[in-house]
Amino acid sequence: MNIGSARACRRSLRSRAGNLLLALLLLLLVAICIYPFIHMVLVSLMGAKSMKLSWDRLLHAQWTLKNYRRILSGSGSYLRYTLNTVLLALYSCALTCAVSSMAAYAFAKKKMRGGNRLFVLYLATMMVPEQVILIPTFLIIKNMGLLNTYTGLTLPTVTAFGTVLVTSFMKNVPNELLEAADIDGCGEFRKFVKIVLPMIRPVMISLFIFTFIGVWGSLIWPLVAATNNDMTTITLAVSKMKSGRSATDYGYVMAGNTVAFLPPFLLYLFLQRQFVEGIALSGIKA
Amino acid sequence: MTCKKRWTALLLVVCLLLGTAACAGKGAAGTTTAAAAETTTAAAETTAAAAETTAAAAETTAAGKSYQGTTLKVWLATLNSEDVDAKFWKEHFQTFTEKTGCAVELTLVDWGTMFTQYTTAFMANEGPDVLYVPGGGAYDLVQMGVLADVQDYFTDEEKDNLLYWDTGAVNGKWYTVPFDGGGSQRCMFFNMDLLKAAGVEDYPKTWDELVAAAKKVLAYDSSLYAYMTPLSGPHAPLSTYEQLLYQAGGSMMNADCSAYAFDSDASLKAVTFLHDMIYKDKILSKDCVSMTAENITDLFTEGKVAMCSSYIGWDTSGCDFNWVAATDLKGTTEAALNPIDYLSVSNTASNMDAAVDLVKFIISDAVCDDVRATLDVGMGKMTKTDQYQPDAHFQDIMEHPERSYSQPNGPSMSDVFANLNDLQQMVAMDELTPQEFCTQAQAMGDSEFTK
Amino acid sequence: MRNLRKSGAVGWGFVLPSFLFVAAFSALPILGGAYYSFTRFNGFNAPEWIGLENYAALPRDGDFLRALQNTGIFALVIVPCEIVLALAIAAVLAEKYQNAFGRFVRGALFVPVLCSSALAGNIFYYVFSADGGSLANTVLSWFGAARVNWLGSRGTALGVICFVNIWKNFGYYLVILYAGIMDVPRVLYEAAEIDGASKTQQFFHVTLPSLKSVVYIVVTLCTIASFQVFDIAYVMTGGGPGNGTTSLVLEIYSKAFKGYRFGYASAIGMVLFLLVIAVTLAQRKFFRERAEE
Repeated sequence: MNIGSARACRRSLRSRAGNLLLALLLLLLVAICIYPFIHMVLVSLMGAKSMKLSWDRLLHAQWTLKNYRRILSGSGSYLRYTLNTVLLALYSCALTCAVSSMAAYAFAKKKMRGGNRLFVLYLATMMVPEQVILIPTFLIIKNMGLLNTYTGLTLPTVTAFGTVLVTSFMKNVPNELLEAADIDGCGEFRKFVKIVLPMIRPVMISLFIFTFIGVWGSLIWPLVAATNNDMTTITLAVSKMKSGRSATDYGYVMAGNTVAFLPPFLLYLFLQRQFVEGIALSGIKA
Repeated sequence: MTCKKRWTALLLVVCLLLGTAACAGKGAAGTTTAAAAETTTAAAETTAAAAETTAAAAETTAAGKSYQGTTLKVWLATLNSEDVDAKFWKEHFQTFTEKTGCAVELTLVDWGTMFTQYTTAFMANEGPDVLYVPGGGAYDLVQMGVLADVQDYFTDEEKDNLLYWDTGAVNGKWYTVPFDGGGSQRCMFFNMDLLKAAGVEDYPKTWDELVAAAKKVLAYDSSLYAYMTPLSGPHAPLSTYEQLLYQAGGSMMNADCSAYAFDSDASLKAVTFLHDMIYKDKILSKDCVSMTAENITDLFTEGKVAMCSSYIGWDTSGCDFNWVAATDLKGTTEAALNPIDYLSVSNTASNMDAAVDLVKFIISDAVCDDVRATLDVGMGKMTKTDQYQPDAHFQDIMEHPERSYSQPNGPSMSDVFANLNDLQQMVAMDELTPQEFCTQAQAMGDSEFTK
Repeated sequence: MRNLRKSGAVGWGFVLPSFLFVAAFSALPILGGAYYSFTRFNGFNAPEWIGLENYAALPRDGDFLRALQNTGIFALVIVPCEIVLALAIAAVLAEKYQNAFGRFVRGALFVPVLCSSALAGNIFYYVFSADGGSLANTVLSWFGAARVNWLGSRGTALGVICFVNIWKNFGYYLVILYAGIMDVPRVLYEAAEIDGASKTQQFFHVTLPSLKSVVYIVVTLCTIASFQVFDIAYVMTGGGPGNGTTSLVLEIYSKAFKGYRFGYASAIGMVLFLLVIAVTLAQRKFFRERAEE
């Protein structure tokens, strides 16, 4: 073994150690990110009313599924809320994706007079917190006669965020392709659907996920826009679980939280593959 | 789907209109009957009172009242949890509907967001007919003008029977009817095993005794929490500052409820005591600044706390040591908060008689007994005729209601409490002197009136 | 010339649906909020015009000043930490772990984004509880440190809230930045390697410049979000202890929905709005200058 390969050996050992350290750090981060969900599921199964977790409690726990049974059986309302929320979320996703992708196409690829100023206006509307515009939005929806309807609950969820997000990725669509399509005499809308949309698939999936999560977890808007309990969303219903006058049963609350958490989680797991493939493809092409 | 909902809504409105029109005649007859009952002889009144206190209060309407076709919207706070409450009330309202023909639509509201929901609902003219009003919260609703004065719908006998009827008054009018009290009664909890081990024979009953006992506990084992009181979370100002204030002889508002009274000698005494407990006597740990009532009861169950200020109604089944609950301490006077919650009728109710009868039904002894049994809510004795016997641990407390006071009605109480909590936390962290607390609290209280 | 005009018209056609939504449900309500900021409005009775009175009261309001300070702290701590963390991890994953392990890590780090802020706040409330049995204090005891009242004093409480906010959101930006990094053309890296650049140099001279527009958007979104810290602070400390961890949105919420002072709350909202615009414009200028390098 000569000096060169010894040095190479040491370097590779150091880089192996470095790699191991890096992998461990990443795993530590993963643990920190996942821990609260483990806490949530454990508490929901432990059969106690307290939220606290300790080795002692774990050893003496009376593991049970009773909290989940209670949620799924109790007058079926939690299932109805989940269905409600899924419909609302999908409705919002459809509107947001359609509307945002079209607007992003215009901002990124079409030269419009005052386009820049409009984009800045879009950004500006994202800077005001929900609480400030809550009452005015409520009054607008009320005057449109849309309180307690799916449409009324959904319309205000289509915000400028989607457009802003998609615009920055839209810039990566090569102009040559669009010009080629123009030369071929392709119509505007056809161009949009056949060329642009497939190219921005990863960000559209991201937008879909972000919108879904946003609508799924929103609390204050469904609270005021739906005075009728039937229209409650699952997240809102779960947030109300701990507010009885009698002692809070955290096992039950955590079971509710788990149930409310599952749909977005499953959706992400399902879409993540597609999302990854989409990115990998676009990377290679470039 | 939207279309269908619009048609359903339209249909409901039409039904309501028809129903109200039909009821109008019968409703008028009902009012005359009630008025007649009040002005007739004592015999008739006793009969009416006796009939009221039996199972279905709706039986008083046997005089011919029927609310066929009316639907009442009731908004109640969740007492146990949504599914249990929903099932419970559905069964009981079924009884009411069978007796009077009046349909009841229940919505359960969440404590934290109750007022937001009330405000937006009334703004949209979709407010309920009967609503749950937590103690201290009536003022704002009265200011909004949505509550109806119900004193004329109750006979003197009925008013007398309700132990807490007087507390429902706001400016000489009665907008609220007491429904649920005693269940969150504030009191002290003592871990007798720990106290005895530390050499304290009997639990302390006054401020000085508390300090002495706590010092002994800390001398015995300094890793324990000698005394805890919540300084975080919604219970905090009610359990801590307010208790001390009343125990020092003061009160939240002045005599005619026209101003908050935070800048009084009693208030200064109360806050100084709180500050001393942390910094002079060192018996109250600063950890309490981030502890809610639940954290504290958790720790108490684990046997880490000797004494704490808490409330009746938490789950004590996990305590496997000797414990005692006693009315809160005595400063100058013995005082403990007994929060009472009420029911109100809104003045947009389509049928006032039906609404009031529903209220009477809900507060009837039979229903309240069921509330205790099924909803597991420790409601205290609310009427003279109530046969309720509290758990042995709490018997002494509940049999002496004169030691307790209830929440007066003032503007924006939840805001006042949030601000009081901020101020008391700052005192606990030594960022504010007791005198500054009093001055700032008073200024804050005054601004709520001039809003 | 005619093509340009046609392009413009088509552009407006595509923007129109989005514009309708934004105008009706974002812009109009903001104008409504601006109007309320000049009134006294309890949410129920008709608003009463009082001119600049709300704004004049702001500098005298201790809660507002504290909230301003805290919001600044949140922005200055959360934005750099989140972006640097997300960027670093995205780069590492893109470079070394384009395999099952990398996908797993990316997936796991995104999971916090999926839950509701209230749930996150609730669980971390117990993790950072003041007694010795809480997870955070247990970890401290492994290192021999004394237990800390995390949420009971302003400094540590602010730190905890920043931590939970970062925990909740950095996965979001990780995903966006990762997508951006994957979009960087391979040829640029190959050219740099031929020139003898090391991995680190490649990152700073190839990856970052190519990511400019994505980084700009991510920083802007992150800044806007950090100015709106609310849910987590509300659930964990309620703005306490005292008003130690209150934020501007928390003040808006409590003044509006607890104190019934929608006019005053709207004034705070407008101040927040102007603040965010100012910061965003400054950032835009910074990124423009960088582009001209």
